[in-house]
Amino acid sequence: MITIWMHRRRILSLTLFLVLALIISLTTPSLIAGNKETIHIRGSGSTFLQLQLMAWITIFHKVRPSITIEYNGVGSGAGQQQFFEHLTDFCGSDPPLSHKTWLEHKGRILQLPIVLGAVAVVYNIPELKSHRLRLDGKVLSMIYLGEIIYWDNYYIKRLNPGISNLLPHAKIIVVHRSDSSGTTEIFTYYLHRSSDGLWPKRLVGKDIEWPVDRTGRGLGGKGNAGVVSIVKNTPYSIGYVELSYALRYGLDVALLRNRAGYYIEPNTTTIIAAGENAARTGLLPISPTGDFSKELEAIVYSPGRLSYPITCFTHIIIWAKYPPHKAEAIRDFLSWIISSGDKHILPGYAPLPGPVKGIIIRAIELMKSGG
Amino acid sequence: MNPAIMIEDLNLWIKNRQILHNISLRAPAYKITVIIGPSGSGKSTLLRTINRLIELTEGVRYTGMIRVLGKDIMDWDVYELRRTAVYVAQTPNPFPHMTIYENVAIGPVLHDIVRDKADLDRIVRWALEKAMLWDEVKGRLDEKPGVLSGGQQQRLCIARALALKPQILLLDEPTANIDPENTHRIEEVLKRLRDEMTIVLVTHNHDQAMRLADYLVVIRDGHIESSVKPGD
Amino acid sequence: MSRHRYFKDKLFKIMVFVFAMAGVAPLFAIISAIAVNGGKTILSVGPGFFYGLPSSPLSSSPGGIGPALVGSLILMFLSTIIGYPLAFMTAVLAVEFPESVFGRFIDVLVKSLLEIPTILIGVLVYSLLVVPTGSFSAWAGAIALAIVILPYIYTHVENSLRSIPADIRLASYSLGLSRAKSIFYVFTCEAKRGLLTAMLIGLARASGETAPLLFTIGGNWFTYFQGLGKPIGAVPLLIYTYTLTPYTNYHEAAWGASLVLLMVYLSLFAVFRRFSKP
Repeated sequence: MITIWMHRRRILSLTLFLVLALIISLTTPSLIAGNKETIHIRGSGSTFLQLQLMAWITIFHKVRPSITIEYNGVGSGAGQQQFFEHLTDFCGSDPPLSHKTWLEHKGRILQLPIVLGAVAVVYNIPELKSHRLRLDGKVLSMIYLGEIIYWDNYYIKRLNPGISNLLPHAKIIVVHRSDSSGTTEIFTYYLHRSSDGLWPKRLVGKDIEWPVDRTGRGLGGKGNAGVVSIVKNTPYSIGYVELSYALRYGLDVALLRNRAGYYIEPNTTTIIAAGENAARTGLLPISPTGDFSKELEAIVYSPGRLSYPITCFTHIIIWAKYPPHKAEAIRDFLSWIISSGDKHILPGYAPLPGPVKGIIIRAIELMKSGG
Repeated sequence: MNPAIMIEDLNLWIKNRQILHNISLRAPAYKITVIIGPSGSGKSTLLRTINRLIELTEGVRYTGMIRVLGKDIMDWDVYELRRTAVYVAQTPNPFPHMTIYENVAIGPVLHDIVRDKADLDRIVRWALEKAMLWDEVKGRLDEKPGVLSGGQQQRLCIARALALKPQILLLDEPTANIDPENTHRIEEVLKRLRDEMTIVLVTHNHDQAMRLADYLVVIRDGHIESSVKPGD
Repeated sequence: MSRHRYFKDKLFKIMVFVFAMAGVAPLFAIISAIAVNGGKTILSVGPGFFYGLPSSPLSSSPGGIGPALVGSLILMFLSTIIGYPLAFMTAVLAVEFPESVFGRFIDVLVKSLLEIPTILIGVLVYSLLVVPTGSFSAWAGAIALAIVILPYIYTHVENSLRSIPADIRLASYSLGLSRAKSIFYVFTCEAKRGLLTAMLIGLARASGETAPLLFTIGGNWFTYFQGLGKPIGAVPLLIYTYTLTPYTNYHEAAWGASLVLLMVYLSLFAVFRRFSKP
């Protein structure tokens, strides 16, 4: 008993601390959340999807406060892993499931393309001022292979007759991603498809060894923000980033030659055009239960006069069956995305074309019968 | 009457260097035994061997027999032994981050010999009065020992020891670094304590030895030179 | 001759001052940047910043960080409860038995924890706790954090205990107190300042670590405390996520969150300062 007295100060502060913490942890949920019947949905995955989801979730939460949706951008790979380990209710994935993975879970999962995005090629050439640079797959491949060294190279000039005298004799600083990224995968896939084999298949991937690095003119940036920062601060540099970043930071965006031969800038119209044409190729399934592994072939360098050549879908992957409350909540969210989601699309993203939206509608129907 | 402390043929080595040679000594109960000798003669070591504090030093080895209150020190529970024969160091070492009250109180509290707070208050007051410090600190019990002078701190250490109600006090040059006035006061304390406990005191000050000793032991180079009753 | 020495002395003093300023300057730069930018955000949003929910990237308002803030406080508290006693006991072992094989082994083990990238600790807890239990949880995050902060607390506690002067130790033993009692009552009291600083260090590190949380807590932006076995949010995770977006309102929120983190740390510091000076 005396010992307690001897340590009264210590015990007092400890109990104070504990009590405070207990109060916080017990009262905040009931204070703020209020409604005890909140349904919690959890997802994780693509950071690209995360931004658009944040916009949708914050507004959806105001519409349906009894449903909370939490999403964390841990990357498409980790997202898929966490989803299949049943740590999350859905995952956001830039690439659709591989054929192998799809087979493994066939019939139990639903894949939904949820929004369109694009990869922009950005550059920093002070002399060009407001004139837009034109590039095509072959020239871009040569730049990233390290074969084109100066901005006033013959091949670049040939694509840009109107401004060829403005192109400086300066070495091109070639910026790529230093971390593993879906954006890199899309970009390199585009290079491969549009360069007639100049950019080899083995250099397509999330994280590759860039040939230009060997020339000493290659730089790696971490994340989209990293690449933006380098290009913005390095004159005569070129890089690739998600369109939303290029728009947000006011970088100069190149016009890219699409499959139909036109030089296209990435915007909502051209991105949707690519999406529509991709749906027409027949390589995309019409049902969420289908195999989407051929999707890249359809959407990147897709046919069509207006199509922007580096467009991509991003997806939500869900189970076909959920406990009733969760199933209802997810269905409500998806319905809301179809009915009101288009009004809250972020710059740099584009809503799905009609035929592709049908996949989501189909998913809602399928979920109903399984829930 | 049995001696409070009896040492026979004590030989002690620290890291293979012999510090004490054939020490034999008797400290009678309720008397002040003074051990006197020049610096380095092994006085501190001897004192610390009595209550086994020397075991805290590295590389200690000894032979011989030491009996405290009739019992071989190796038969004692070492913590009980140190509580019964309390050692007070040469330089005052009160616990700097505890209050004056807590310094005196911690011994009894941790040895669980206190019933309640009132009891503890009584013990603390008693110990401080015995150490002739109470009047000087009674309004300042909540302050840290740092506010006290060297002499007062040494008396605080004595009070701290007294709070344990020991039977033996082992004092290692208690007034070596203390001013004359406090020295006088501490000697006064010790003289008064004689009636209640056995005191063994180490010093190199001959005058102090003459003032205090009921028995005098002279030690030099780890050997006992002589042991006398000062009256002789 | 003496004039020459006088100038040298003056020069030396100036150099010391300049270098000291140079060393402290970055700290001031960081603190002032956080204070200014974070202050702007908090002032513009008002008290709602502390308990509100996030806003859309399309909105001009930075939104609130409520769930993340509460989550961080809970995680800091939990991880200290787990980590501090462990670190303390380990330090006691290392200080009181420095020669034993066990003592030395523990010392090396704990110090090598410092070398492990914190994300690996998060991944370890992920595979051992999160996956088998089928849920992200506050527990998992707290344990991952506890492992990360353990060596820092340990080092500090060990130093504090070791630096107790020999005469204090002697005083305690000469009162007949056992080693255990001496450590747990006397030495902890004497080393109070150091032990509390160690707790501060632990709390501060726990408040700022991001990597161990990535795969353990899940991350909540809209939901407050759901329970210890459920996912939870945290401020550093929020700062990390928001900063990587291209949206200025989120960047503003990140600045505000940084200032909140700084304020939490400073107020902890103030509280402990007061309590360790009775």
